[in-house]
Amino acid sequence: MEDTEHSTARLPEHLGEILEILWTMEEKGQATFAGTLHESVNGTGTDFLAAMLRENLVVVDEAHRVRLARGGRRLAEQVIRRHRLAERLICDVLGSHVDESENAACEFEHILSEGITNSICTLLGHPQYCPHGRPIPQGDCCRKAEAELHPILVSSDQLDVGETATVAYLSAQEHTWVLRLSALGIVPGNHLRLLQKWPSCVLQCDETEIAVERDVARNIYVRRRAGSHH
Amino acid sequence: MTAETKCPAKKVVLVGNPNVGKSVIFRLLTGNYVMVSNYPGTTVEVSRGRTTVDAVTYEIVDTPGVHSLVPQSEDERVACEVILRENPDLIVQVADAKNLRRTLLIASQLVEFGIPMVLVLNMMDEAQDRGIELDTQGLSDLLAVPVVETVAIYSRGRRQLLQAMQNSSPPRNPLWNSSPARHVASALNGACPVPGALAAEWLALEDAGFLRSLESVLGRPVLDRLETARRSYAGTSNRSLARDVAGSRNEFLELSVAGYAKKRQRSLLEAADNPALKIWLALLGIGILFFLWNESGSLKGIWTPYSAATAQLAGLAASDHGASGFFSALLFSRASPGTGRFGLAYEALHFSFFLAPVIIPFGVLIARSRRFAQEVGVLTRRASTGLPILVLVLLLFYEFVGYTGAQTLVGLFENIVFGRFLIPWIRGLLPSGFLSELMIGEFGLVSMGLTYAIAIVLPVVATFFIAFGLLEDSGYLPRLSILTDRAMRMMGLNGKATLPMVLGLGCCTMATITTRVLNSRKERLIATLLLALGIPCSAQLGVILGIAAGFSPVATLTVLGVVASQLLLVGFLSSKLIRGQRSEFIVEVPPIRSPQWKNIVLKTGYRVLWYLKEAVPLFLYGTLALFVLDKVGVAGQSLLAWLQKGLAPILTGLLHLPPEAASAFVLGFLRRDYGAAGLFQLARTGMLNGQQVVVSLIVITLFVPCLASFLVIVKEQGWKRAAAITAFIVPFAIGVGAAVSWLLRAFRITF
Repeated sequence: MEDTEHSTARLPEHLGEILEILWTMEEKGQATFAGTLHESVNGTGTDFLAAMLRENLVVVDEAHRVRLARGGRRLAEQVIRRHRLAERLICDVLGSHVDESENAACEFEHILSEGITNSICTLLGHPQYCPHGRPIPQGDCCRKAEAELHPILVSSDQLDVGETATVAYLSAQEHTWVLRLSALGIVPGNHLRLLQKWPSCVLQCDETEIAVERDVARNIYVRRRAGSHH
Repeated sequence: MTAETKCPAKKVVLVGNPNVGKSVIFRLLTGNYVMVSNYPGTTVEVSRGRTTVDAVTYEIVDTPGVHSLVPQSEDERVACEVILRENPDLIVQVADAKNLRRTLLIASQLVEFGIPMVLVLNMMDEAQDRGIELDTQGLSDLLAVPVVETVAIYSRGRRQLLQAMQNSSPPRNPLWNSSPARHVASALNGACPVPGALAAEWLALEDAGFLRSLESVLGRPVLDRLETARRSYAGTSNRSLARDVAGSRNEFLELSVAGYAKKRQRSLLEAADNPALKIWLALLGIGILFFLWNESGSLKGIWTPYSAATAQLAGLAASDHGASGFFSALLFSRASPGTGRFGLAYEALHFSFFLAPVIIPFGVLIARSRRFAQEVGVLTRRASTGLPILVLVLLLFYEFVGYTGAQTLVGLFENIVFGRFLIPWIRGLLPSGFLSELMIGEFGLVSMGLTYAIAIVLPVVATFFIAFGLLEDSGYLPRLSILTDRAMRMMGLNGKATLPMVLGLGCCTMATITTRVLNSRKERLIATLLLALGIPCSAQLGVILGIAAGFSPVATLTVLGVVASQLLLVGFLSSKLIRGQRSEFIVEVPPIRSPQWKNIVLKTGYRVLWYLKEAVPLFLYGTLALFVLDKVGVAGQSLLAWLQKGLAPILTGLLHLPPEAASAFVLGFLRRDYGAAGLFQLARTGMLNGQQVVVSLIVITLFVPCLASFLVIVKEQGWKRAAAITAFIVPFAIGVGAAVSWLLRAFRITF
């Protein structure tokens, strides 16, 4: 692990971008041609391509189609993971719009080390999809979490009935209902108990019972108490 | 304020969360001298009353419940405007002692107005039951205002409250130090005594209507300063000013709640093993079973205690026949052979077999045992138990409104008060001729207009309001919206829309106004359409049940089933076709409490007055129009006859109804229930068979709304939409009626 972390952290910016393009195109099931790559990276693509071929990160076939080799795929996976987790973080926690998150996430992905990436992933409850709905590649932390324990941070509708948890944040896509919830006492730091899931979710906050629809409960993220789950 | 004897009244505004007993405190302070009116330009009710203590007169204004003074709803906007516009001398914040956080949220906003304040911690008993200990003195020091503990429903703490009102003082402001608040304060530079940080949040709402009224109170320059402050703040923080204000407020609340409220583990032994309560619990169980037995018996015609008792009574009535005319009529009358009974003796039986066995033990348990109330609160919101309870509630509702109201009271008013006294009295008073025709003729103002308005509709509306008030005050209605949220979602609405729909069962005109509680335009339009289309109002429902009582229950179920399916269909389609967004379902669920009789009586009184004032004139205009149509003739035939002739092809051809039904449908334009009542008359005189009753009831239920509710739709949605709604509903209603008529005849279904 140690060596890949070093190599990805030191990845030149363009290399990351090329890996990202190759990954996304493959995800869409489309081929990437050497010429297109050249254009998309400010005209320096071919130099990098040559370097990447030398390092066995990519392979090019007779039709000039570029594909990721095994080493390149591993690197690309990490770049994509950092990028999409950053998007989730910006969208959910900071409440920015999906489109805004795109640029910020590009900046982010170059600073994150693997350790921090995993912490963010754990904080967000090992999300599976980015805000655009594309899959986020799993990291070690996800595999470990799957095997061992529930995520610490879950949306309130995932609590067990009767379980108490602490509000972590409200995923802020709609400001008005965030205001309504906070007037009722659902604000970060406050305790919350899930009383019922069906037909509507009923949450207890202090001495107030609040009925919300599933979609609202899904956007209230809570921190489970250690040991409260099995 | 001078110490003269004739000094003007001190104005006191009550502010607080919903369901904290604000109106009870209001009554505690004012007695019954209350004026309820809509706040100008809104449908929100504001009550005003007066009281004099130690030679000081107070004018007390009760505002609607709020969650926050950053207004998200019309109620909250009105509360803010009352404080801003009416320059109160004193604000009394009424709070739920159990919820210090929400209390302090509002308090922290109120202090910004700089008006002397008193904080009332109400429902101290509930807080103590839950082991919550409050540091009242500490809170008083924190806010620098008097803090009073009360249990308003038992009048506990009234004296202390009145005393505190005399010793009130301007609150500490600001309560905490924060950079966003400092920023606003320095921008305003003491220029005006407005709430600074709070006003920054107001601006951030970008609610055009509220901003306009703010401008008229605060003036443009102040708003401009605030706006500048808001924009210049962007440079100093990466979040907006409003968000930082809200954030620092939350931090303050967090610290204060931790500091002033403590929760100890409950060690109170609840009086569950109290033998008296156990007995009541058993009685409730037996009462429910007894109720269901009688109910199912009257549907299926099997032997029940109720059927046996009524048979006995009928025998008694027969032997008593003619013995003492008037009292016998009062006790044993039947509206028509085999159908509705309205004698008081029958009502006594009905009450003691249907209503009393469930309602009395339930009421006792709710009032005496908090744990029972809590359990009921849980059971009523869960699907598995809530739905059966909902059915039980609806049955009880029907027994009260549909029987006690629509049969007993309607019978008494129509047959005895009007039939035996009022109309013969007028007949004796007026010589026969035009005036007599106008008053008590076939389409007479008294014999038709007032009879419908007062004798037929009023009893139903009044009993409906009583039942609705009980559900409202007991805290059941939010639970109803929990149960119905998913179904409403299919129609592009959310659980909140259940309230206007249920209200529509009382009066669609009123319900159309209350669609304003819905948060988005799309929801308001859909709810209005559905109300206009297929929610039968109380009068109509009473008439439907009354007519159907003469036929098999399958007839009623067919009518209601067809109407309900059309509601679902139209709701589903319109949720897809009408553009816009639905809003999220977020509703506070208050604990189940026992309603206060006084409150119910007052509420029902106001609502009945409203009905008399708004609806009764429309009945009279309608009758008058019909009278004119009947009397004015063209080519040897009255206009009514022409109109009926015009409608006849539709009625006889498509719907297979007798041509006489035309007058009921013409009346239906003027008032929907009015039309249904006309059908009632036809059915009672045996002019409609089962199929025709079902078809005509379906059509008249789906038909255009009454004149009053049409006018309200115009007011709420504009001419274009009102016209579009009508243009859709009329052919739709006739089409559905024709289809049902064809099906019934094709499959030879009779009732």
